[in-house]
Amino acid sequence: MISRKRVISTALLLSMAAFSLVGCKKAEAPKAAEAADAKPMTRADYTGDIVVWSFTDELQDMMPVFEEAYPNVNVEFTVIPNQDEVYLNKINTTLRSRSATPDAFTGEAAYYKQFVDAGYWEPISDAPYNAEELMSDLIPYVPDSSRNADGKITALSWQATPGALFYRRSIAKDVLGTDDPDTVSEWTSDLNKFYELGEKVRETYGGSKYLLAGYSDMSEFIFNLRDQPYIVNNKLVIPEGLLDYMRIAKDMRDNGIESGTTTWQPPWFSSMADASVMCYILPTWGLHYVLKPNAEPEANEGKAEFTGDWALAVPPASYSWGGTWIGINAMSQKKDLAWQIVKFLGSDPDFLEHWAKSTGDFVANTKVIDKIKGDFAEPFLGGQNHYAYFAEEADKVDVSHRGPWDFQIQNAWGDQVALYASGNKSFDNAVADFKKAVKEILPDVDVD
Amino acid sequence: MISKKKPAMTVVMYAFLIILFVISIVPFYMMIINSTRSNVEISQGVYLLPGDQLKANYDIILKKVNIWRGFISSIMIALPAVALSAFFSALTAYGFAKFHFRFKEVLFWLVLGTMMIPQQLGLIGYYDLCVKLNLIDTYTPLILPNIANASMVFFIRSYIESSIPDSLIEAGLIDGAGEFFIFRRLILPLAMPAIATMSMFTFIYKWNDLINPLVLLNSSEKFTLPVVISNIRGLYETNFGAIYLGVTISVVPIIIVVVIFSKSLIKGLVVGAVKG
Amino acid sequence: MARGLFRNRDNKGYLFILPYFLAMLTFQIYPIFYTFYLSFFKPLNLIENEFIGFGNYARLLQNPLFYTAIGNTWFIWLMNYIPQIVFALLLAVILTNPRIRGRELFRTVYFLPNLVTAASIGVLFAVLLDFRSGALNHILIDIGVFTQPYEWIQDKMAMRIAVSLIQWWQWFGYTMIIFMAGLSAISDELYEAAHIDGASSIQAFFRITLPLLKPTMLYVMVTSLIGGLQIFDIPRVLTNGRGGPDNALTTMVLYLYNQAFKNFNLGYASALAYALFIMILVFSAISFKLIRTRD
Repeated sequence: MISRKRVISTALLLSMAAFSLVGCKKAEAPKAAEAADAKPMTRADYTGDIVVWSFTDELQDMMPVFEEAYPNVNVEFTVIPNQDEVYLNKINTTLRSRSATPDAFTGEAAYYKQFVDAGYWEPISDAPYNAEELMSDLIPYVPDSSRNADGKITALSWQATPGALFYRRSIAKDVLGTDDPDTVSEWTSDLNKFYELGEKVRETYGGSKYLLAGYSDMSEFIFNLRDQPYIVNNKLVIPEGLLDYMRIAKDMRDNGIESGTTTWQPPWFSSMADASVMCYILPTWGLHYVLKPNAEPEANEGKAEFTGDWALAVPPASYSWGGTWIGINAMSQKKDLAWQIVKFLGSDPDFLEHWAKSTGDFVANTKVIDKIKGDFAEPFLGGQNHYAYFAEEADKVDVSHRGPWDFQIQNAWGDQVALYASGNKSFDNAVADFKKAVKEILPDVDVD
Repeated sequence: MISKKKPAMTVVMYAFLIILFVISIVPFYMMIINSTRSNVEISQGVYLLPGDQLKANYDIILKKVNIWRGFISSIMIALPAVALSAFFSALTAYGFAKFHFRFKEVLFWLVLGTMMIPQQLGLIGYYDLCVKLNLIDTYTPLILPNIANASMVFFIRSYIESSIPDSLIEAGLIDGAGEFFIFRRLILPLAMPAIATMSMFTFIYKWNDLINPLVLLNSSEKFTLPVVISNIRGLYETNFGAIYLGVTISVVPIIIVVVIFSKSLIKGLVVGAVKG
Repeated sequence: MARGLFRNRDNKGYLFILPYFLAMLTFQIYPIFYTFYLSFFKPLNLIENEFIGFGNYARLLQNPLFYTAIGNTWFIWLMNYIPQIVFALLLAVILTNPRIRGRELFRTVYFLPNLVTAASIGVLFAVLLDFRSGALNHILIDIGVFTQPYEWIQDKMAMRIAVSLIQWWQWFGYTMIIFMAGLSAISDELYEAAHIDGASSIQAFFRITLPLLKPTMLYVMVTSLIGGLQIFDIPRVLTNGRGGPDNALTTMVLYLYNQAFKNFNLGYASALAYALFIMILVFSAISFKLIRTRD
């Protein structure tokens, strides 16, 4: 018995060794050839199938462009919208079991820092990826904000998402006597004057029109107004800006300066069309994907002309809102192919130029931006060049204080603001209850 | 129970039935009507008349997803799952109802206990298990576990206990019928109202299940209807109208099942009356 | 050996329940124990965990929000299950009466609310309850009840009642169908005999229907506890997933869900799952004691 077993295992070992020799030979052959010819791989040399998952349908239109550039790569792409956290649920469940599928996947501003901390994404700063070499062409904050604890880049993005403020020209004319963006910006670029503008809107229309659809529209630039993270040395820090926001939210509600709805609720969308609200504080993507289709749906579908009743002005503070990053699954078996797609989407000038021109989205490659920013005249904005504005704003974006739990912490603050603004809670209680809510998110953090 | 002699009572009763009828049907009807409305219209208000966006919404669906493939996937999962649930639950329920073996109570509480753990977290362990069994991206883990359907066993057991007398089974045994023959020819037909009711609910549950297929399946061509419908949603546009059209398409088979069941329940009632 | 075991006919019951237990052991036991195992860990990040013994359970028991969630869950449960069972039973009795016209139609329509998706209820209520543009405030101001709009979504009691109402509306038809199936098990002869004895229909209901419906009642009671105490999707869609205002709609499973999938704390969520399990188990056992099936 024993001897036979040994024979079998020896045979197995031998055959395995033979197998691995063959395997090595096969794997080494192209490398040797490459070294000899010193010829870099062309796009057509990349061959195979890769799996890409994303919560956003934008990639659906990008994949054909990639497959055209890489004729021998076939992308099996799946969209899983994150409604009810299902995308996060699927990614987490899959990657916790160290699955090699998907080869590349996206993460959104709200949670991509969590992906970075967990090491879901392969660090790509060094060889064989050398993403650092791309930095000179990219808006720095985009790759920088994906750096892990070792300072390595883990993901790229095709877009940068600086913020703006959009207003209705007809309301500006009624209230200020002019719709000139520079004059309006004088009122919108300072928070105190912005509030004053709100009072003027109310007086002009006797309370039937509002400055904002809801005070929560201000939250994104408020959240960017801080000089340190929320958690410093395991202790909660509440920026002064958040406290101001809570007070101003209540003033706005009490004085009829905002219409009383909440960002992303159905009435918020409908207020864009019915001309009851002057300003929306939205970033790059907000113009094309939120404001245009909801404010003038017919024109957006090409069935009518844009009225040109909108314009872009400077918001009370610079900010960045949202954004989608794509990285390589650290467990993928096809990292070389996955890197090609990450690099293509996150830096390729031809692709990004095509993308910017076909969608109007603001891209992350500075060379492309410089090349095309002169040509934009947005009919929805009465011919204004939003691209040139965003190009300036993108330089001001500072997300160095972003942390993995910002989304949860900011939501908790928003909940308390709503209770204070509606008169259901005192200021001090709201702050105290916020601290309790942070304790729910991060039980070990010192909140006092 | 309702006497013919009290017309006032009859009026009150019909008024009650009709009020409930209205509050039951209006929101459902509005959900269906929204499938003919545009995204903007739906966020603006509440409608009682159809709009003209049905074709536009259908085009959005066709552009974004393959809804009919999702439909077929859902059928391929829901039908075998219901069949397994129905047969094995009846089998198990009969075992619990009419045999008095040791540890019966403990075993029955084990069955009930599995229902009492919130499902949301179980999926994490279940995914792990499916990786070990090499079942990820197959329909098996969505179908086979339906052999163990605790709620259905519980209901059919109560039904068999209260409606099928032991004497009927004893008569069968005296006639020399085998145990399985008795189950198949006597118990299954007599318990049919309970089996049909629970099968209907199981079908609806499987048909609407979003999270299990979403996590356990990877290939888009295997996705079930709810997963496909959730994919109609864009990142920036919600596409409410198209989603409602998707929901409308997915609700049709359920309505058919409910109507068929409603008829079979009436037959069940008749069977009950005859056998009594 | 096997023959000996099955010489006693009752032991053949094991064969009838065997496939069920095989499926249960294969597919259900591992996830349940895995959840239990997770409840002893604290996350360091999305992948790595740290063993902390009973730390999650200790945190749970010392956390006021845990008790708030229990309170919310029971409040919503009581507010909708009592009316739900009353309506369901009444309708089941009415709609099994052959003299009622349109029974089949009523029965089908009463079930429809169960098919309305939670997401569309969320959209509907957002449109109805909005502060300035909502239909409810418009109506109340127009008929002179309010002089200015009221912020419903920040009113704890109004939101809890809204959830209970929606739950009632979604499930009374479902429970009605269960009762109807239960009624089909009761022989008509009993009613005929009662009728001959001169009993009124009210008497027949309390003397025949209710006692014989006990097994169904037990089923409805226990599954209502199991399902009802796990309520979370309606509170979630009405509050944007946050369980607000001020956690008034944070039910136990919504709390668990947000801890697991928004705060990524699977360990604490698992401890919550087991706390809920114990609560449901205890109350199910009490239900079995109260509604005895064999008298």
